[in-house]
Parts: sequence; C-alpha cells; structure tokens
Amino acid sequence: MSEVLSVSQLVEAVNNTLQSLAGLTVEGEVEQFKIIHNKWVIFSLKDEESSVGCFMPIWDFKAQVEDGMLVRVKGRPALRNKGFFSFVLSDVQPAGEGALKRAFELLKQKLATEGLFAPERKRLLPRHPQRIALVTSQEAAAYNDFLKVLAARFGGLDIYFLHTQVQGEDAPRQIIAALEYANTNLKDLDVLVLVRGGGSLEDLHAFNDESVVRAVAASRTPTVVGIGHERDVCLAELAADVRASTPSNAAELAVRSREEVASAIINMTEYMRGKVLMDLREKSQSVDRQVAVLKNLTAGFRQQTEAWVERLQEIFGVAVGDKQQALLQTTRLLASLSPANILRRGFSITKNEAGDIVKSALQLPAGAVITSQLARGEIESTVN
Amino acid sequence: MTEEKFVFAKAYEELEKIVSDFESHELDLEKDLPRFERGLELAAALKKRLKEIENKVTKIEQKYSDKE
Repeated sequence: MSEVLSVSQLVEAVNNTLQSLAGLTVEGEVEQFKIIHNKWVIFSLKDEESSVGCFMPIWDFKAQVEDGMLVRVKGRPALRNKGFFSFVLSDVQPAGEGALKRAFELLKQKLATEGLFAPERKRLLPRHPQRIALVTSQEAAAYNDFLKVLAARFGGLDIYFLHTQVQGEDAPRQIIAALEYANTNLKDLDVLVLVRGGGSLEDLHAFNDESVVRAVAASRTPTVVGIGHERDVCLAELAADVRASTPSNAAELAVRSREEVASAIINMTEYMRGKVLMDLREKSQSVDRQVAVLKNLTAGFRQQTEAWVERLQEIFGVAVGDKQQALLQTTRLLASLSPANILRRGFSITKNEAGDIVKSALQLPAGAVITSQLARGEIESTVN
Repeated sequence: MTEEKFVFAKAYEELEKIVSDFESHELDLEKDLPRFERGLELAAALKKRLKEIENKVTKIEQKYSDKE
C-alpha cells in the first residue's frame, strides 16, 4: 500500500514537481485584469484555446496592463492551497508594438494626471551653464552628436559623462543610478542631459519606464532630455524641464551659441558707449549754450555802457565847450588890460621916492627924485 | 580678473547689471565712467572666453553601470 498524504502534503508535492518549470516565459492576452486591495494583481492569460490564472504582488508589477493587451510574463506555476492552479508572476511586460503603444498611453495618462508633465513644474535652465552632466551610452551616436553640436556652440565647458546602457533590461536601473549619482556627487551642476538616438518603441523602452520618468521629474538639477528622432515622444522627455527632439537639439537647447552671446555682449557695450557719448555731447552742448548766453549778456552790458558813455559825452561835452569859450575870452580881455601890455605900447609909470604912483605934477616939489618904469627898464630923474 | 577665477555667468550678469543701471538713470559721468570702463573690461573678457573651442569631458567611472 502506498503512502497516504495529507492534502497539504499533496499541494507541497505538486509544487515541488512544478518547481522545475519556474522561470518560464509565456506570452498571451490579458483578461479580467484586477488589482485587489492595492496589494495583488490578478488576471487571466489566454490564447485561442487555453486560459491560466495569473497572480503577482503589486510591488513587482511595473507595467501598464489592461484587458485585451498582449503581454509576456515570467513566473512559476503553482498549486494554491485552496486547490486551484495559478501562475505566480515575477514580471509582466507588454509584448509587441501594439501593446507597448497602449502601455505607453496608459502610463502617460496616469503620470499626466499626477501632474508630472505640467508646464508649471518646468524650471528654466541657467543661461550660461558651466558644468553639464551627460547621461547616455558611450557607444551610441547620441554621445558624439551631443558633444559635437555642443562644442560648435560653446567652449570651455566642463562635461561630466556618465555611461549607462540605454536599452535592455538593466538600462532603467543604470539610468536612475546615474541621475542619482549626478545629483548627489557632482557639485554645482548646472544642467543634467539625458540623450539617446532613435529606435523602435521597444528600443526606447527605458525612457518610457515609470521609474526612469519619475527619476527625471525628481532631478534636483534642471534636466534636458532628448530621445530618438524628432517624431518620437518619450515620457522621460515630457517629464524633463526642457524637452529636446534629438540629442543634437539637446545641445542646442542646453547652451546659447557663441554668436548669440557675442552679439548680446556687443549690443550691451554699444548701448553703454552710445549713452556715454550722448551724455558727453549733451553736456558739451549745454556748456556751449551757457557760454552763448553769457556772451549775449555781456554784449548787452557793453552796448548799454557805450550808450551811457555817449549820452554822458553829449551832456558834458556841450557844457565843457561853452565854459572853455568863455574862459578864452576872459583870458584875452585880462591880457589886454595887463599894465605890462600898456607899457609895451609906450606908456610909463612914474613913482615917487616912497614908491607911490604919481598921477599929478603938482604932487612933486622941485628936487624930488622920481622913478619911471618903462616896458623895459626904469629911469631915475630929478624934478627941476 | 584672472583666468582661473573667471566665471562666465557671473561676468555676464555683472555686465548686464551695469547696462540695466545705465538704462535706468541719468548718467553721472564722475561715477559712471569707471563703471563704463568696467563694463568694457568685462565684455572683453567674455568675448575672449567665447573664443575657446573645446569642452573638457570627464568620464565618471562608477559601479552603477555594472550589472548586478
């Protein structure tokens, strides 16, 4: 007689046997997708003929899934102790372009509702960044494109390059670690740039990974993200402060061009020069004007003074002329009356011994001595 | 202004500050001529810096890029 098992032992025995099937990857369509108590994810995975119940803890569930979506799951088949069979999953990923697109749309809606892409969250980049962190793969064309365009625009910058995978399973973890490293360890970082060249939706998956998108949104350094070609939109781009269409465009948006900056500098110096020159010209004109005003003033004074002088000359000039005439006549008259002039005409003056002028012969006794004054000289005589 | 200490963004901001001051008031040549000279000096240093053609790329070697 064979060994008798308890029910639990049966379940254990079955699960031990099933253990050899752990790590299977299965592709199928999702049906009856549910999240229970925000703890468990359950759904059925089916194809045309079969259907299997799937189960996974929500913390392992990182994809956006809905009914009808084609997914690829990893897990192990197990017999639950209630007696039903379940495929216990460790990973769920959308499978194929259609499912990826749908998952992309679902995550986009979810993050948009959270406000992760809101314009008011966007920060301005510093106008003249000096220290730039570049996160991409060294092998990718994006690396060279970015650096080439950057150097064509501006020089003397400090670039810190953090190499990561940009596709494949481990890419999201590496990118998140690089963003964290740059934010934490690079001092005075001005801009954080995340770029990758073009590819299929599957190739670009790391940049639509929810954790990566959240890490970009949470970056303490302003971010520029440029993934793929112009037409590609990645959620990491939408979460960035500045969305670039391509890696080259990321370089264009990260720094201003030399020409632009040079012309701004020239405009500024020309403005200053112009203002200083205009000010000097105005001041010099003002001095000229004041000098002209002073000249006018002094000219006025001079004219007035000259007018006064003329007027004074008129007044005094006439009076002086009259007096001079009168003085001349008086002088002539006086001169004609002078005794010397009379003597010159032949008259003489006779004086007695006392020196008195003798005006009558009767005044003189005989023998008196008299003196006659002539025009020239004197004569002494004795009266007979 | 020594080459080592020159910070482009700072010099550019100082120049902008001088220019916006010039825009906002009547000049006092006594005070503003030295600032004008300072502005020209900054502009010359900035233009000199614009002539640099190469960027310095430092590769950060970290474990985060290794597979676990």
